[in-house]
Amino acid sequence: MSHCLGERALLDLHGGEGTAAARSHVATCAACEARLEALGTELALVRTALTTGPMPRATRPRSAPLVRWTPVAAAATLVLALGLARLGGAPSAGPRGAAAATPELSVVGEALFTDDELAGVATAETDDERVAVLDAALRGDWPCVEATGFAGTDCE
Amino acid sequence: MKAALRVDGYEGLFRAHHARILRLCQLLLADRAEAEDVSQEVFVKLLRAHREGAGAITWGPWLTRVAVNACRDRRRSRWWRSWRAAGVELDEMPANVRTPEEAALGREQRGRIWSAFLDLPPRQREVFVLRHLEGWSTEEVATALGLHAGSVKRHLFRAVRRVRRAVEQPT
Repeated sequence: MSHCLGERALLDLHGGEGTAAARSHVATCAACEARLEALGTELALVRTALTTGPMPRATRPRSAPLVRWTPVAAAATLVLALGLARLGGAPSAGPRGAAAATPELSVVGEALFTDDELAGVATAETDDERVAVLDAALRGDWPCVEATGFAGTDCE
Repeated sequence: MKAALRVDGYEGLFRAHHARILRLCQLLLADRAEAEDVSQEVFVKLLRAHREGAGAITWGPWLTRVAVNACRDRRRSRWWRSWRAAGVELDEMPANVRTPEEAALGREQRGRIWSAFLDLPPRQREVFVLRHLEGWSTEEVATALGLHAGSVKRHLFRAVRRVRRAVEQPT
């Protein structure tokens, strides 16, 4: 192996898992030997920082404003939807009131829920089904976690 | 006699692993109170497994796996995620407990390292902790996290690149 090692190969070596060719290269290449030593020194510092001394304290919420307010807005929508559904079912509720509120609700609903979730609410036949659909939608994970299933990529 | 041995076994395991598991939870959750909560859950599971007479198990790695999963469950909680720490506030380390290595680490540098570490995506953080801090092999980490060895290496490489940047920044 004549070329100097890449960072991944150096990391493998540092973790004791490099190939024999990489090991023999480091033994004969002063530059790679110095890079491997620097990697070891820096990772030792990181280990010391993380495993000794005080832990950091929580300071303030990290969420972006949209994410922070989403649960509140979603809960308000749920309450609105339930209230309207009850009014719609009661004899005293006239079609005029429901018609006036529906456009606003649909705008909020479209901003908060996916098409599938809205379709689920629209096709639900009973209040209980609507509540179940909304509840499931509200319990859903954040998009990046949901999209990756937490098993592959890192939401980067 | 058998029951007594089991209790002794549990207590021995608790003494041997509690500090390590608590620290692991603190690293994965970056929240002391949450970490204490989750580590308690882990040892309740250990006690239950003991009472149920779990077979031949290597308890150290078992506890680590259970702790990683419990921390992941906690992180997935919507409310916990929205309230997790934004910044890093470190207390000064008492001078009388410092080793030479610790003394070489300035408070600012420790803060930068912690910030970089806490900014890692959850999977990278898990891989980094298990591989680099717990000293597990790539294969062991892959098995515990249900990943391919190549994925473990990829996550570790990215994590190391990020935390090294924090170390290399001039003070």
